[in-house]
Amino acid sequence: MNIISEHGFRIDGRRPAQIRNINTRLGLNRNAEGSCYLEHGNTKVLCAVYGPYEGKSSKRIEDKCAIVCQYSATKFSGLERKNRTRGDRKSTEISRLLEKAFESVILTEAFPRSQLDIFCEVIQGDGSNLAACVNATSLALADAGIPMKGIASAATCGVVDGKPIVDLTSREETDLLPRVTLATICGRDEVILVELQNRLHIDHLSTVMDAAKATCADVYECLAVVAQQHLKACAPILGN
Amino acid sequence: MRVQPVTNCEKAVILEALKIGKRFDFRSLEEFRDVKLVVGAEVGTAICTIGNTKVMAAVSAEIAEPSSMRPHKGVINIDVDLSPMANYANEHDRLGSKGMELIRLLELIIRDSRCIDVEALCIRAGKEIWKIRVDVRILDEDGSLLDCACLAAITALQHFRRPNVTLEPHHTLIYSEYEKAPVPLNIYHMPICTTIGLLDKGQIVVIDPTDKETACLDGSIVVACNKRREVCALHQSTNLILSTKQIERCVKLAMARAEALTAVVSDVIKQDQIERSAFKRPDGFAITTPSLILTAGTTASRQIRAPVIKTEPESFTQRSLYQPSVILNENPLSVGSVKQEDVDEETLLAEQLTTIQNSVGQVEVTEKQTVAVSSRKREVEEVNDLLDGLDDDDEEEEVQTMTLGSETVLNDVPMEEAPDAEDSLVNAKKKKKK
Repeated sequence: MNIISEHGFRIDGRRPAQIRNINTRLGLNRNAEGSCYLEHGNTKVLCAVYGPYEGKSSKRIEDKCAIVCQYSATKFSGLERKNRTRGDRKSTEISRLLEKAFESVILTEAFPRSQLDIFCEVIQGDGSNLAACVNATSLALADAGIPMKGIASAATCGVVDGKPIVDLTSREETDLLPRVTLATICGRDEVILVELQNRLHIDHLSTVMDAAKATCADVYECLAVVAQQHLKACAPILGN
Repeated sequence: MRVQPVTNCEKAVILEALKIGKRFDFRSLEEFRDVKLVVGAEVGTAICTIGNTKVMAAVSAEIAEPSSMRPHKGVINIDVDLSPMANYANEHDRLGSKGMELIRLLELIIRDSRCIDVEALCIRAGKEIWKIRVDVRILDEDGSLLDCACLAAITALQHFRRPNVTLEPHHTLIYSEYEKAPVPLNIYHMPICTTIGLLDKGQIVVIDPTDKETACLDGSIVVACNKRREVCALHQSTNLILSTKQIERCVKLAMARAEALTAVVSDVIKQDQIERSAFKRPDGFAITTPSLILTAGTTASRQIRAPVIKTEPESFTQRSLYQPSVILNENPLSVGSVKQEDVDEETLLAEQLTTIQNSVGQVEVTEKQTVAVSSRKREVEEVNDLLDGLDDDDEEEEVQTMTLGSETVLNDVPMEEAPDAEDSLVNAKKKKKK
């Protein structure tokens, strides 16, 4: 089973540089300050942000806002049913990655001695789960009105026969394919998250980085359109 | 216990020094600390030291049942022990965020980069596999913890040997190391991890930061590479905003480090194999202690031995002179009293003559005086030692030793030493009277 056919198409009919469809919905959760539902192809992520509140004294930081992220995947999200979805090492690692990434994006000095909770739930996983979580979290934070340096967008990129392919699906995320998950701010060259799986030769590294950066810019365009449409939809209610 | 914070003065000084390009341990910004690698006497153990960071790794193997999803692959488990010995801020038996990050990165580097052939660890598909366990214990902590832990684990895996296994149709034979030689693991490549600190939004690169420098930096990036110029792991471990060019520059710096350390690991393993193949017991961790220095007690015991050697020739002389003493015992019994009286008169005359000769000798020859004085003192001391020993013995033995002493003195110095001998005899008579 080849990932790219001889005519240059992938299994699902995309070109190597094409991303899957992104469908989003903002403001689903009434109790949360900001919430977002994002479909990236068949990857479905639900994210909720509970706004800056007075957190526990143990996690309180005097001059900044403490960001706590909890990532979990549902039991039915993958091909096999998982028994433990929260608290294992992989979930903890992804939670830490999301915390570190969004500490760079959010202006934490604006909310001293407070705490911000982010909950990410992968309802259905079909590859590029980490990138989808970053995109969903970014839109949820925008929905909550948290001041940020920009909307963060993430994408994955792999290498097949020396050529980069972007936005991998779960079939393409095999054990032998080297892939990079990259997250940038507003599609600019400001990397907040970089994660590499499998071995990648250094000659392909710049190619992969450039392709992932370009894909982040494309994803940012989609997310910006979603945010603008949401603002336009809210404008008549406010009476402007 | 809490972590002792870095003071503002200390932080300002460190940051100012780093911006100039200086460090407090006299390294340049792109210079690594010394790496010391020691493999233990037990196979699969290694201690790695980078500066003041010390990590010990031990590898063990056991036969386990595989999971149902991967029935034909072995399992590699990595356990990290962050004990309070390394840093008093670490809680006992609790990993914390630092420990979780360390475990996850070690798993990412060792397991997910596929440096070990896990299919070769299968004994029977679905029934028996080898389960390799890597225990990493942090002994001391001063920055670059992941680099040191990764290098120790890789060296221990290279050094490890598992028991030889033979498959029969219905059972499995496992041989001990005395029956068949153990088998090394199939290792495809060695990922070497490098922590690179970044400052001023990535403008300044600080390689191999210490604990104090890590607390002052903006963030750090972890790059794992191998000798074949492949990137095995890339992890932005703190909140930091970089560009892709800066990331690529960090990867190039880590490449050179990986090639150098791979050569170090290969040399250490090869040297250990040469020692073991020559049937020499390897030193193991013993060479980490300085060589033993002689203590004061041993030198003192050597001084005590010196007089014991001197007494030995005297004992031989006593034994050799025993037989003539039997002959001499008869003579003094028959004529003892008369001869002794005559000797007393002669001694008085001899003393006067010797005093006259000494006065004449002083005028004539000056050098001989010193020699004579020293020889007299020595002989007097010897005679006194003998006489001191006589007090404890019986009367008959005293007589024998008296004759022995007199003969020795007469034989050695015939003329000059005669009055000394007679004086000693007079003293002996006085002791008898008492």
